[in-house]
Amino acid sequence: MNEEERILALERRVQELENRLSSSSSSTKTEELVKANGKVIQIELGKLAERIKLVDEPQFFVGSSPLFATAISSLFESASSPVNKLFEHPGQVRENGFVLYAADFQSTIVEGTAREIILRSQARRITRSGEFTALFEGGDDFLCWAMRGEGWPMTPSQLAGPWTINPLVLVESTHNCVTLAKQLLAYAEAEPTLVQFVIGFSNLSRDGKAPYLLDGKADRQRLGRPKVQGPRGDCFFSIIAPKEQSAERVAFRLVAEIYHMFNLVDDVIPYTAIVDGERAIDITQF
Amino acid sequence: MNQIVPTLPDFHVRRATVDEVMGILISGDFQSILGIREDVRVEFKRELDLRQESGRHKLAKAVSALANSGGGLLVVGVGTERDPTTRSDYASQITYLESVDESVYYKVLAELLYPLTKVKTETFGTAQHYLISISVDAAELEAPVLVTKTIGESLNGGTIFGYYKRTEIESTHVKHAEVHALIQAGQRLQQIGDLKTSIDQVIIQLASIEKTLQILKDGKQL
Repeated sequence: MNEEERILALERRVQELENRLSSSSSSTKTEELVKANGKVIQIELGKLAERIKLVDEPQFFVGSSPLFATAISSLFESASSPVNKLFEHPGQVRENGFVLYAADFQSTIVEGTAREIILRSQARRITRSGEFTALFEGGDDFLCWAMRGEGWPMTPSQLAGPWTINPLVLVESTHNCVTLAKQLLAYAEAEPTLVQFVIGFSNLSRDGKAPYLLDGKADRQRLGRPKVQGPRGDCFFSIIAPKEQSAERVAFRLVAEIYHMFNLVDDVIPYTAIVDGERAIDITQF
Repeated sequence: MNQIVPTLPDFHVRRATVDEVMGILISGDFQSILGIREDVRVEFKRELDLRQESGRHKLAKAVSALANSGGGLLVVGVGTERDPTTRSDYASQITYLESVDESVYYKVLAELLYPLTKVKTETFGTAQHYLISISVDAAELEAPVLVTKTIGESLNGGTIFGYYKRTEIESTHVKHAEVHALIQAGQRLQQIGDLKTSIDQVIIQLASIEKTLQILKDGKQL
């Protein structure tokens, strides 16, 4: 190897090391950002839980935060600003669905930094810096809707015992939240290229027993399929999604985190289809 | 793995209008009610024990919510269950009432509602197998139907009220901020109403003067 070749080889080596170093520091930076964002979302969720009086009660939540700083400056412009109208009246995919309620509810500005809507079994919040959080009642009134079985009066075993998550509620409400979060972020001054989405639940253990989840595609005739018990009553999952990723794909990825925790595979998640080679929520099945 | 037993009903869950529900009640084919979904216009109650305060309040709340949401129909004697595939309750069982005294329903509503909205009760069925329907007219926009409750003793007591509306799945109370907005709107309407009354009085007085003048004129001519 002559002098010139040795220099070239050394240069290549230096370049390689630089690349590795830069990718390692960028990945550490991203991890730190994800961690910090996760904490911000948790704080936002905590505020919602207090407002809706669910701090120690079963909760289900979905949230999002731009990975890099941005601002929705028109959020406080007026009660009739398009972004506020969207926050108050998100689109509905179907009647009687597991939706973010729209009719007759007005948002209020809180702490000078966010808009909130607080209802009986659900609450949502959007900050001027783009963090969106939605918190739902985690028991009978929402996440575990109609999962105690049929009949009246209910038997003691129906009334007690572990919670069972209704998979239709899980999928449809997650999709609705992701859709609204993405639509709200479209009003940001610089629409974020990367967004962190979270999903999870809290206080879903009852009498020390973790919740169940149906393992079946949940059309009406198959709600009676077997169910599996999860490992714990609390979870918090986080994913990063590029701006271009559809709400259907993002929602699927979030719900899949929950299903994997229950040791269930992707193709038992209800309301899904393969779109462009990737599994995503299919709203036409709602 | 734990198995749960599917016990799905053999009817399909569906929407029905107030007229369709009334049609079924009139026909006497009560089983056809099964599967009808509750919504903003239609509500079912298994039973209402009007001897208990809770039962009286449930009746008043349901009727006021229907009135404030455009009117509708309450049918008592029908049990409901939650539909796992939609956020709604549907009629799942005809439970019947052993006896019905329509006048008690009117009394309770007269006692607890302000203003007393226009309702019409009808009893269906025979021999201790009754259903009662309560048709509720829409409240006027400027006069929502309130549920009142007297609390405490004379001087220390008072009357509190609740304002309910009906959503797809429940009767829900209206928050104080909206009540404030309605009060303000009501005050504006009151001022307009007062002004209209004054104008009406002036018109009556003018008519009276006109009549007197006419009499005087007629007298002169005679």
